[in-house]
Amino acid sequence: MADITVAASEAAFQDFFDHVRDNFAFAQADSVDLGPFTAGYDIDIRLKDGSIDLRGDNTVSIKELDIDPVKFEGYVGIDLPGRCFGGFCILPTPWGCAIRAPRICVFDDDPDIALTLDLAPFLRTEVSFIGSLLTQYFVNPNRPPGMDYLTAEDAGLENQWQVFIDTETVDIDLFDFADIAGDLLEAALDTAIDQLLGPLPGWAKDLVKAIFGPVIDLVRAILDLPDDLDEWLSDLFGVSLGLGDLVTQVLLDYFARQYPISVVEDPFPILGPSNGLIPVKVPLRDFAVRVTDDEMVAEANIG
Amino acid sequence: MRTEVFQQIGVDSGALGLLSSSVHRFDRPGTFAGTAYVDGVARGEYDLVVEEGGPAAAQIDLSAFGARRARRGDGCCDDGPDRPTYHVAVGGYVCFCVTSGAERWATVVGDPRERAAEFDSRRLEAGDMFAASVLRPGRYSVRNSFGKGRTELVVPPVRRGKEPYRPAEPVRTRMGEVAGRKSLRLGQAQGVVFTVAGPTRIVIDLDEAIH
Repeated sequence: MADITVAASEAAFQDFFDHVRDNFAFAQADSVDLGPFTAGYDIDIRLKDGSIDLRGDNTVSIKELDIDPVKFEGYVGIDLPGRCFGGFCILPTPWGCAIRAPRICVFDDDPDIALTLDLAPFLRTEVSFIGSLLTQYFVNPNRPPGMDYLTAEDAGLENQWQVFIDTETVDIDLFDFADIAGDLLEAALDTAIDQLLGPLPGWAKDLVKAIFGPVIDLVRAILDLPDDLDEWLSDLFGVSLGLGDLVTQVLLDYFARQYPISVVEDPFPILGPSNGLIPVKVPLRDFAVRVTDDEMVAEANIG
Repeated sequence: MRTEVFQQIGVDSGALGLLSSSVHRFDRPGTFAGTAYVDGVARGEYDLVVEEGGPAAAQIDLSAFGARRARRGDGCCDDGPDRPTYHVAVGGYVCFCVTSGAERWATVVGDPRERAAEFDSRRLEAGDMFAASVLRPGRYSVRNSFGKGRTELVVPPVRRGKEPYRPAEPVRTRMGEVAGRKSLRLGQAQGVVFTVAGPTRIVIDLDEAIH
C-alpha cells in the first residue's frame, strides 16, 4: 500500500485540463519548393472548448476539443511568364525582317504572384482522442547544484513529478476541402493579379489581363492542376507540406510531453511553515497515477 | 512593374518615347555625329559610322544616354573614349528607339562640317519610317504637324477571351503632307508603321477614351 494517496475529482481534473488547453499556442510558417511553384503556410492556432472524461479502464477521453485557427493560411507562389509589347517588324524584306520595334516588357522579370488561401474553412476543427496518464520526474534545469529544496521552492525552481496525457494513436484527417476550393483558388488569383497590377489604371489592367489570357487556365497549366482541385489542395497542404500531420503531432506532443496536466512538487509538503518553523516536506518515490470512472488517484511512497 | 509603359498615351515622332521608333536609311558613307535630346536639352552624343561592310541595320537606344548620364553624375556630353560609336552599312537602316523611362527623346545626326542634318527625328523626310503602338483604347487623331489634315485612329478595347490576346501584325500606311487615309483602326498594342512621303512630324493625340 502506498504511503501517500491523493485524489482529484473529475471536476478538478477538468479544471486542470482547461488550464492546459488555454495555455496552448502554436504558430509556424514554412514553405517548400515544388519545382514550378512554391507552396507554404502561415498558421497560428489555439485550443478551445473540449471536455475530459475519466474512464474506468485507466484512460481519459478528451472530447470535442476545438482547434481555434487565429490564422490558418496557405499560399502558392508562382512565376507568371512576362508579357511584352512591341517587337513587331518595321521593315520586312524578302530575306526576313531588317528592323524590329524594340520589345518593351511590362515586368522587369517574370512576375511572382502569391495566391493566399484561407484554409480555415476547410479545417476539421473538432478533435477527440483517448490517452493514458503518464508520470515523469522533472529535474528543474535552472536549479543550481547544491541549492537546497527550501531555497529552490522559494525561487520556484523545485523539482516535480509531472502527469501528462499520453495520447494513443489518433487518426485526425484535418482537412476537408469542398468543391468550392476551385472558386477559392480563382478568387485568390484575381486578387493576386489585381495586387500585381495595383498601380495601373483600369484600362491597362484589362489589357494586361487580356494578354495573360484566362489566368486560371494559365495558372492551371503552370501548376499542372487536375480537374479535382479539392483533392489537389488536400494533397498539397496535407501531404506535400505535411500540415495535417504537423498540427496533429504538435497537438499530441503538447499533451504528452510539453505541458503536464498536473504537477506534484518534490519534496512534497505535508505541513506548511508555522510559528517560525520551516515546512515539513517529504521526498516522493514510486509516484504513479491511475484513473477511475470519477477521479484521478495519485499514489507515492516516501523515501 | 514598369508602369511608365502605360503612361505613353500620345505619340509624337519628334519626341520618341517607349513604344515609338523612327527609322532612317543612311546612303552616304562617313562618320556622323549624333546628339540625343530631351525637351531640347542635349543629354548625350554618339558617333555613327556608315561604311561599306557594316551591319545592314543598327538600333540606337536614346534612353541609354539618360542612364549613362545618371551613372556618370555629370552633364552632357564629354564622354571621351566612352563616347559610343555605332556602325551601319551604306544603305543600311538605323532604328532610333527608346526602351526605358518616361522621357521623350529626339535626335539629330549629321556631318559636323555640314549645316544640314542627315537625319533629324523632329522632322522626318521622305523614305523615313515611324513605328508606334497605342495601348489605351480610344479615338485618336493622327496629324502631320508640317502638313494638313488629320486621320482618325480608333483603338477599341480588347476583351478577355479564352485565348491570350496577341496583337495583330502591324498596319502599314503612308504619311504625306496630307494624312493618307480617312481612318485607321488598330488593336490595343498593335503596331502601326508610317512610311513618310515628305517633311513630317507625326503626332497622335487622344481625343476621347473608350471605356
